Amino acid sequence: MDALILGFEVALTGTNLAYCFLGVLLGTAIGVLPGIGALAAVSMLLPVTFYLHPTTALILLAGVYYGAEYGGSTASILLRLPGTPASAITCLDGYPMAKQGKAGVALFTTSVGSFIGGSLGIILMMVLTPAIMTMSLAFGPAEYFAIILLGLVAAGTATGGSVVKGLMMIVFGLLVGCIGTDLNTGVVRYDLGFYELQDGINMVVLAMGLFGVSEVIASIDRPGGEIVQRRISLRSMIPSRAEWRQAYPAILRGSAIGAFFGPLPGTGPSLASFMSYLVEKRIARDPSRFGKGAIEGVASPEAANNAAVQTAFIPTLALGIPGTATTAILLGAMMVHGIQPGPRLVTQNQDLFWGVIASFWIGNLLLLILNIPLIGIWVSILKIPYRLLYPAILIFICVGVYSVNNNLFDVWMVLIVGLVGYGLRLLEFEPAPLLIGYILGPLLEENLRRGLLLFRGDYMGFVQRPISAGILLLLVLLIAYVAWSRYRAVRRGVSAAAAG
Amino acid sequence: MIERQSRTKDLIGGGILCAVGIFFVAGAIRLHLGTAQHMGPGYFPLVLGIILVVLSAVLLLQAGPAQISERIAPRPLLAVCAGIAAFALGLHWLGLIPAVFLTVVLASLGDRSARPASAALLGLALAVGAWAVFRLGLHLPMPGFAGLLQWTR
Repeated sequence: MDALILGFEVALTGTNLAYCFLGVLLGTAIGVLPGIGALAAVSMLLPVTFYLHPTTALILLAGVYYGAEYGGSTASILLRLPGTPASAITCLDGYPMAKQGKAGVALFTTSVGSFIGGSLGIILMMVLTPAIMTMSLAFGPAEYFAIILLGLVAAGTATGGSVVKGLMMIVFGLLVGCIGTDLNTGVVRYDLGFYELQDGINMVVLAMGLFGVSEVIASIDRPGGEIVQRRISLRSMIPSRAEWRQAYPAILRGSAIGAFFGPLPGTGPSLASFMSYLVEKRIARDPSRFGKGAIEGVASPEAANNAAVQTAFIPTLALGIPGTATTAILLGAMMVHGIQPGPRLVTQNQDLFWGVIASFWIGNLLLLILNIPLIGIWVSILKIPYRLLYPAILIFICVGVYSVNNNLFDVWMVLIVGLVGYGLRLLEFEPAPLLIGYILGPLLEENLRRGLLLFRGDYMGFVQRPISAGILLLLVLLIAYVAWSRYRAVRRGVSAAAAG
Repeated sequence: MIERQSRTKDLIGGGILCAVGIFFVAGAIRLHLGTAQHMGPGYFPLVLGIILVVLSAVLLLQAGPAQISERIAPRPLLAVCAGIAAFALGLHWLGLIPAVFLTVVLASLGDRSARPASAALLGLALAVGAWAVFRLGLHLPMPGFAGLLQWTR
């Protein structure tokens, strides 16, 4: 409890409060606008945070991340265009609700649901993160190697698309992470003669190219939607008693589902909101209401994605293993500032850890205000056409990557990475596992080589320690499960084809 | 029809990433490899490159499941690339203000409904805005005019 008070002392200083507000404000704006997600926004703000105190930087970036999940549902409800991937499922029932003139109720429900989901997530984070950190004091290179490997395989297999493609992106990312100077020997790898590549491909360049540039190219031609309801009065937002009675159990279920999926590597908020929608539909007395404006269908997924966003910080802060591409960037930002996640975070950087947690409480409260009384602002932002927006985004990307090293090489590099990212999109490869692989690659190699040094080249050392053996067993089970469900899907496909 | 297209995509994707894997393997062989017990700088990327080649081969052999396909958008692609290139060249030769103007105008052309006049106006507004925020506000080392236009500073 003392620690949390210390956290609030940190978070309530003028600068931190201002950046927390700025973060959630920007996050909501970015969440509201379709065609730019939290991932692109966080990577675009990265260079700015290099000038800030690490705590402030993390408060700002995290605010953008969870703020975007609040804003994401607005466009889903009013335009049937998801503002963030995790809000895609909200279109299914949010847009029909808006068409029935209940946009206000839908927006209110998603904001309250987001707040409750977020709160549960933060509470779990406060309890579990220090506990896991204490446990991880016993971790050596073998345990870290095993956890990172598990995280990578999970991130590659949980993309929703083809498992092989997901794993390919992970390995591609690991290889991209190899570019630059080898930490153990000082040998430069794959620099192709460019001295700028001796430090590796910059994280900001990679993230902005993969998610910023390629997203802009893909969004220009996308048709905009028509806003269903232009004016939303505060009175129209209050749900009726019957609606609320349906919504709040759904919010609680969604929060629990989200909190469960958030910390699992590779899953994150998108899967959480999807799963919670499926659960609601399955347990509903009348499943046919779904897709026609069922309030549970907006309440549960929005609670789930916010709970997942908050609990995704648990493995990131406690172990340094990010579950999603966005937390991977946040982890990268911490490493740039020289902050090592893990057990030492609570002991050595107590004010950072608890300050960030306190800022989550403040940020979620601010978001509740931003998204209920001030919803009108966001509706008017939705009216800005994309053709005025994307040139500004592009300028921000160019200036941002240039400012990291004051080097034009990085601008050319972002162009190349953007082309690669767009190509991957066209070929239906997910770029998110690539980024996770790139960030975790150097850590994987370091722990593998350190472990081998420790065990004098004996690979059995990784299996003989109980914790790492347990994690590796989990990994084997995961692979077996994925292979089995793939096999089943293929067989079902064959039998369906034979029957048809 | 869609299925065939998705399969072509997997063939192209598998082929390209197979080449990427071979590139990294070839690069790794030229580094000091070491052994599995005492890895040199080349060992880790060598193994990864081989895994990527194997995974690509798996993708090439199995037909991909049918998915909603995204088509290439040549106009936005060209406009955005030209815009970024204009920024990289313009910042060096002309300075921040002309660079931003050129980037915005070129990128705006990617949208079919954009008119030149409104693109120019947006370019002007963003150029002044970017200069005010990044140069005056954040003191980033990017002069408003530079290179060929240095005399105007």
